[in-house]
Amino acid sequence: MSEPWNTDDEHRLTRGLDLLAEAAPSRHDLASWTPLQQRGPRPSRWAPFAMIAAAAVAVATVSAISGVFNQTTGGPQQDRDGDPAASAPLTSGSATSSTGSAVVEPDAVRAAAAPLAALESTPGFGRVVLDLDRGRVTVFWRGQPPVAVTQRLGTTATGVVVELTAADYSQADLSAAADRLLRSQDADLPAIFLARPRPDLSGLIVEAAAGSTAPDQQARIAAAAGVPVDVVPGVAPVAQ
Amino acid sequence: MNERSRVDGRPFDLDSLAHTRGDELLRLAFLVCGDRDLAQDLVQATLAAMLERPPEAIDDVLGYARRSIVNRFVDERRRSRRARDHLHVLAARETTASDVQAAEAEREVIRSALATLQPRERVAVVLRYYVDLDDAAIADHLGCRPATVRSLLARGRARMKKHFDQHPDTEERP
Repeated sequence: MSEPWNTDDEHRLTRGLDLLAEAAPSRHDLASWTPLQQRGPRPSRWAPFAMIAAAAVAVATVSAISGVFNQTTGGPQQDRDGDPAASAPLTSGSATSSTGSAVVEPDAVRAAAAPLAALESTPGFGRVVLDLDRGRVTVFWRGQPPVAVTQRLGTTATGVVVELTAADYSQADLSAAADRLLRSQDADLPAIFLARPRPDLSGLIVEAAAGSTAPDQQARIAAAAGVPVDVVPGVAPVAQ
Repeated sequence: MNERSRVDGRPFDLDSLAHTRGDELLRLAFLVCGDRDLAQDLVQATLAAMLERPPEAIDDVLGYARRSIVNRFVDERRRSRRARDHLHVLAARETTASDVQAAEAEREVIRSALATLQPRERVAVVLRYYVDLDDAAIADHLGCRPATVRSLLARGRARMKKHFDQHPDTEERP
């Protein structure tokens, strides 16, 4: 039988929360991501899948979190209107103009990313990541990217560096993998709480019940998903 | 922690919110969800949703953002039906008692203690002991009555106490 909660526990919890908060991501981490955008109601049937779909949308959308706030509406097409960089001529790929002390305007970074994010439904599309601090746009793509991507690689006239990173899986691949996992009929699978893409799109991060991090369980989850997975202990939902 | 309609003395806009309070919101999200990536998703979703509202429609910027984060977290957990009846226990990581790793060990104790809580309990505990909100404010965040908050906190403290007793504090008290 535990003793009642006391001031030592109170102190320990307060101090511990401060300690734990030190491990939280910072807004600088956030700046390399893009915001989730509302695209109609999420499917209620597959909530964890909805999460990965939302995460996929997050990485596909056009604006970095610290740069999108002054926009009144989202969506790549709107961004492309009046876009100073989307149609700007590109140099041969040298980043010279954007290095050193040159300052790249956040609007220019967003504008450079807009036409790339608009390719979300194109097979192979992974994600578009904006780095407003360094004036850089990184496109993740599985397989050979289309001309619409390759013609934009390099450095724009506004100094934005647009680069390509090969991804093992596309956004659609990982959404499908999450769907497979969550619909799996394997009765021995541990409870899956959540699935979302690894940031580099090399597989899924799966939150599952305790014990699921054992190697055999990880292998079982990976087999059900059909892609590599990182299994981490998750938090169970509350029954309603 | 009670800013309303202005962020650090400036009129509300999401740029200033992200730059001045982004870390704070991420820490809150991280403490309630326990996952760095998910914390980013929660904050991003919150800020993106705030884009769709005119600034004048939000009279308590930081409070609105906090409420949105905790509600998104709770909603996601609720909708995840597959594991509805499963208890969750984080696998305890092996830690050493060395001074160098003491902070990390204690962090892990807190992390695993929080993981024994149900989502709403965890939100209540974080809002009370990290954000320092009173029952009424927590109730506002969770959309429930203050009495419910007291109940959530009591259950949360009981679970955490049990965990603390299994992992005695090694810090010397002043």
